[in-house]
Amino acid sequence: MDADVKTQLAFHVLGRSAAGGKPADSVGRLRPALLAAFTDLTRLRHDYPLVLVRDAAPAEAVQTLSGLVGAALQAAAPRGAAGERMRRQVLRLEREIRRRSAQGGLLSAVWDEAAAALAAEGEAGFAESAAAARAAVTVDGELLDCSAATPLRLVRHIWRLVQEQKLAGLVGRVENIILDLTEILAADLARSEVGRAPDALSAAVGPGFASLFDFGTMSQLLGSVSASGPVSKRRRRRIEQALAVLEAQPLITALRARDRAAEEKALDALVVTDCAGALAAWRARRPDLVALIRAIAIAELEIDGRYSEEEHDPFFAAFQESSLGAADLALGPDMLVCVEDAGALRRAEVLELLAAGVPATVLVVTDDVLGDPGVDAGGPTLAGTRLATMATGLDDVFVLQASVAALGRCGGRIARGLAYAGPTLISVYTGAGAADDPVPPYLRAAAATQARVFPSFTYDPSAGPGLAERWDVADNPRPDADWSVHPFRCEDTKQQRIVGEIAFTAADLIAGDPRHAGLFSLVESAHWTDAMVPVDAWLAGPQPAGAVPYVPVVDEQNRLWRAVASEPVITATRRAREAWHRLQELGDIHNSWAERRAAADRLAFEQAAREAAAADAAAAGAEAPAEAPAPAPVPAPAAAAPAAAKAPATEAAKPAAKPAAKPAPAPEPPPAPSGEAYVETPRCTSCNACLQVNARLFVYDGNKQATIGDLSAGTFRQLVEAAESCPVGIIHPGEPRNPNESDLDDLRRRAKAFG
Amino acid sequence: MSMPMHDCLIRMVEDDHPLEDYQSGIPRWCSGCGDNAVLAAVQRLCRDENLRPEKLAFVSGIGCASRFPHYMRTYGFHGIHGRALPIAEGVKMARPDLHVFVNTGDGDCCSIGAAHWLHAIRYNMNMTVVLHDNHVYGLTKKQVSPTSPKGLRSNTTPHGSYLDAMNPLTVTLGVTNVSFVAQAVDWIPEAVYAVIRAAYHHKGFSFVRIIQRCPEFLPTMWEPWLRDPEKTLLLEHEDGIAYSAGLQRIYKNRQAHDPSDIHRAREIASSIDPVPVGILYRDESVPCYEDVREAGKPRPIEMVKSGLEAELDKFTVWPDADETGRTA
Ligand SMILES: Cc1ncc(C[n+]2csc(CCOP(=O)(O)OP(=O)(O)O)c2C)c(N)n1
Ligand code: SF4
Ligand SMILES: [Mg+2]
Repeated sequence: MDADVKTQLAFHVLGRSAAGGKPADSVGRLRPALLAAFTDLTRLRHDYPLVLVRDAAPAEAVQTLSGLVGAALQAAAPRGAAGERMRRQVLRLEREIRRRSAQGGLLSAVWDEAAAALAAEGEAGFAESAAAARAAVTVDGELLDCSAATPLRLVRHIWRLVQEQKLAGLVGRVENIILDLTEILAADLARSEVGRAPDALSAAVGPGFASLFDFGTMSQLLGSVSASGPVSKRRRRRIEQALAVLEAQPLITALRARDRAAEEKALDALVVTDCAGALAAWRARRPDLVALIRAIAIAELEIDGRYSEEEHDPFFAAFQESSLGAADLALGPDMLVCVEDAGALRRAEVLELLAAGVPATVLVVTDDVLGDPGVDAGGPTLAGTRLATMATGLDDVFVLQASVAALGRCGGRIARGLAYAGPTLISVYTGAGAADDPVPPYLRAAAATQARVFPSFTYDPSAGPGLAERWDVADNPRPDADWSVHPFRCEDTKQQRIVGEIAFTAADLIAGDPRHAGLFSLVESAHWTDAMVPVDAWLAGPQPAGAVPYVPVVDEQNRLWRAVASEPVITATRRAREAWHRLQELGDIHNSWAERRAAADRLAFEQAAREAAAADAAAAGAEAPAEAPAPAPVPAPAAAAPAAAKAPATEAAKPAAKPAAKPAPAPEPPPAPSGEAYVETPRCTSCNACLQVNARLFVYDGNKQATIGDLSAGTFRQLVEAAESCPVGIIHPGEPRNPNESDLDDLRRRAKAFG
Repeated sequence: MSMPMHDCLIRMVEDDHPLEDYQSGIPRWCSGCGDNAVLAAVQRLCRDENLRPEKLAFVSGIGCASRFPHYMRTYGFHGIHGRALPIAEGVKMARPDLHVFVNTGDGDCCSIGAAHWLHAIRYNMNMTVVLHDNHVYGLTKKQVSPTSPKGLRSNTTPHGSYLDAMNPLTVTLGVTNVSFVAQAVDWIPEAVYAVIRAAYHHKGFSFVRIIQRCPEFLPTMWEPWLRDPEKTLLLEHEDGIAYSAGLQRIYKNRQAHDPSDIHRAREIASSIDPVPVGILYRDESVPCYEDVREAGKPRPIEMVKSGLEAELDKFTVWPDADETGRTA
């Protein structure tokens, strides 16, 4: 075996650096080769900064600067060369805004500053382009750069809008209830003896025209026509109690009085930073909320006139917190719990809070997805990547996982999670590194998603009963593949150009983390051998003896190295890939069950086709010269959807039946025995004509359509006359029952017209 | 997910309503009058949808057809001639929780009430409007109406009427914000029911024209259509109405029509022979005026009072001014 290979293999297996291999931290800071191109993010047209749009619908409350600028250009840039120039100028302006965005500020203000600064350079037409684009941007809001603080600010912004919407709905509902309950009591008073007393009537009319009325007589008159009795004592008490509860809610009272400061304070109090505190706060708030929900339930039944003491009294007597489901608890504003992923204990706390059914959104931010070698010496644990998938096991928790790099595209999903009736978990990787780390958080976060270490996904229990509706993993690079693959060009340590394609794996991410430098051994190009295999290929299948896995990395001089990965790196990478496979299956990509079924079905189908062909050939063989049987059509493998994996042997030959849009129409009733009178009831127009001839002979059925009632209650003459009077001709008199009835010949002749 | 509590509580006291729960009084329409068919279909709909009688309001104008609310055991408003629609709009605005039905005649809707009709279409408030089109003023004993066939001899046109009949379907289809138009003939009860049911389920102003026979004053007008099923065109679509096998056996003249196609709807609507039956047009996306104006928003009595006061104050002659200003 080649000496280089031996050394590299020894490192891979034993993790020991032998002669010829450089420790990974010996040449300064390393980066995964694929990230080498991105040094200055302000030149890259990426998602940041975001704009936290003011007064927007929650789902539209987060926009990307590039998206807004793109839409503005689409709307405002003319066709042709002038448009091209405008596009170029406005994109330059966008870059300038991006450069200034770390300080935050309102988009409109930063836009104006940036535009003024660039306009000062005096490029022809710049000011006009900037102004035209600015006019086409229809929204405004705070600029938000990518940093460790981003997730909280972003989620809090949408949370706020969702809560405002929710509170406005609740307050409107409560105001209506209070109004209606008050009116029930006021109407009762007006009907009562007190309300009908001459004095009360006089007061109601007012002094202006009092002299025109005789309130004494009016009072007597009203007393004599009272339609319904007074509100019972018990009902009055229920109504008054409900009113008291509704009017005693401080937040609702503040909102009804349009007290913005109180609303602000109440909402601020709902944002907490620890799980235990959140649980305690919820337990303290719950009795009030339960009382509110109970009062609303009683009040709405009363208003609807549907309160039944017999049915509802026992229900409300036994009413308790456990009577309420998530949909009921979703009535009030939700808490926002923001915590950092600080190890296993914290994760357990989060899961406990979510499992407790607290109406809260828990935002968990993590800034380390690989695990700290100082704590876990055994290699990258990927511990910070597990919380969200674990939470999906609680079934009724809305879960969203995304790195901060993807958040700009998650506004709609976050809004959905915040509006979800039940607990929600939002797990975000911030990409924040040590203070002196040159890699920007955006890049690190994006890389974690690319590497399948922190994939994006959504699990929405309200989307439907099946996993296929609930899971969404589509927002990942190349969701169908194990890894995302990228074109790549670089120089090796001897300044040779290298062009190719490489996959970005978890090992690449680990290689970029200086804390894990000890897990790699650097090999410069002089020592590269054919036995070296990229990690993705290494994991894809068995390798020849002596092969060693590596990842391409670049040093600060942009020179390419191969970093031989030790076993712990491979283990972690394999685990990331397995976890990704599980997500893929949940998201119905490469569904292994369906693939297996499809393969089995395909085999069975081919077998059946072969047998059928053989039988045909045997039958035909005697008479005609044998012709090769046409190959049976082979169905495409139904890889994606389990539903597609029907038994093809029986189904494939038939044309696909169109699914019925409506239930099949009801079959016709069987005709009456011949000779007996009958009515084609479904065609009856309910016009009364036959019932006016004889309402016992003909009766209406439950649909108010005519049918024969009692044949013995009428004569054949009446049957014939009814048939003649029926405008739609659906009465059939049949044969006379009484052979002695007069004029039978004439009647028979007339009856003939009706079959 | 389990049912929200409010629904559970309602379910505890939910009762099924038989047809009789919606019936009131004995209709005074002539025997054989097509109004009976509409009444039966509407009562059947109420029962099948288990609608709560106290959540329904039937509003009408004046005419034979407009007696409809009397025969429904629900809220009703027998209004004044031509004004069924504005009254219904007021009801809907004040009580968006009620389902509002309007029963109006061809005279009531297309003659004296025509202006209200056009604007009601444009306002697109969620209500089910049934035009009982018997092509004549029935209640007042045979005067020509806008939908009367040209040449009709009536009490007001003894020499025969002079103008072509107006087509209420094409008129409705021509107005801004039209959102639902359908037609049925009173002698096919299955179609009357299906069309009114679809109208009820449409959120918006659903306009249903029922071609209604008046055996008293136009006894033979629709006779050829009754006798010959080929003169009826059933419109079917997976987004429209599916007819029973029994009906399909009789009415073989059928056509697929996509209710979202307004141009085709206008073409079909212009035909009288064959007479189209089914949903001509539907657009669920047109906003309803009561939603635009947030009709459900609380309006406390103090707010209403202060608004009224402010309005009236503009015209008030104040006592001070009164003392000095009044001379004689
Ligand atoms: C303001 C006013 N003008 C005229 C009348 C007289 N009037 C009563 S019913 C009617 C016509 C009704 O015709 P239609 O609406 O077609 O109803 P139908 O009786 O045919 O069902 C007229 C003109 C009236 N009641 N009020
Ligand atoms: S006059 Fe005509 S419309 Fe009026 S009730 Fe009689 S048949 Fe019906
Ligand atoms: Mg009429």
